Amino acid sequence: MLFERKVHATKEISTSSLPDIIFLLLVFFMVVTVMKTFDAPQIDMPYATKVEKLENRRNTTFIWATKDGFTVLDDIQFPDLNTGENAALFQKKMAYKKQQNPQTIVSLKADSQTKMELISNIHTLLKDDKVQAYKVSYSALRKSSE
Amino acid sequence: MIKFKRRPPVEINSSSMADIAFLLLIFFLVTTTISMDEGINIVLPAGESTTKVRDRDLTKIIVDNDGGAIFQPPGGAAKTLLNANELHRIKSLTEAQLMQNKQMIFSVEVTSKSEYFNYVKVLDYLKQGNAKKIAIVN
Repeated sequence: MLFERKVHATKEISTSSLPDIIFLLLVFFMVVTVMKTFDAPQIDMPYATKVEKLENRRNTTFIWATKDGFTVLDDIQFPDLNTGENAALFQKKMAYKKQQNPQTIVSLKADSQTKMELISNIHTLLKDDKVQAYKVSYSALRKSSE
Repeated sequence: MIKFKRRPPVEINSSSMADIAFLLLIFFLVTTTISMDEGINIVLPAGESTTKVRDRDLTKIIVDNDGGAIFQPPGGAAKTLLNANELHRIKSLTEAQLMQNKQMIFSVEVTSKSEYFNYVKVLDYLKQGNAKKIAIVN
């Protein structure tokens, strides 16, 4: 006597690996997202019309300049850039960053009411032969054209 | 005849797992805000480098402590005094200068006690007037 076996082939496409793919995507986005690693001081940025987007955040070094005369570079506070000690440390830190990434662009996040004396000081330190960070972006909020 | 009951397989149904994961992914994609940094880009001159510029190619803009400015075209032309509310005129003045001389360099001089937003304003109006060569005087 012959027994005929029925073949129980499933007609469905297995979706059991779908969660793995989605989780992989989720993990990918979590890994490639760059999070800020330092706290920024409170500043009130100026508005401008002709603002341009910064090309790459990875090449950007942020410098904060508050209206009280504080400068912050990567979580290091410089209470007064006029003093030789602060200026030297600022330059050392900046020079290191420039050396690590020659494409570095400085994004200057200054308060609207910051005195130009401080901004000029920062310019002088950035232009120095030890640092040579010439590309600067004055961070501003976009406003519609007048 | 003995009949064996077929036991259903003991598995947790995971077909909705993909939906949950998708939902999570979409939630994070929607709620994540990537802050794009924007600003006015300039290139500072190298160290102590000095470049000789012909007087007729240089327009000076001097910003004072009160936010006003002096727009001084080259060649002894009449200077324009602008108060803080008239800075927007820099745009048209810049365009007029560039019509006369495409090589015009705009030198921005700001007093040390002046506030940063005045400086950004002047740079912004210069850029709006299509000024390409901007010099910063410390």
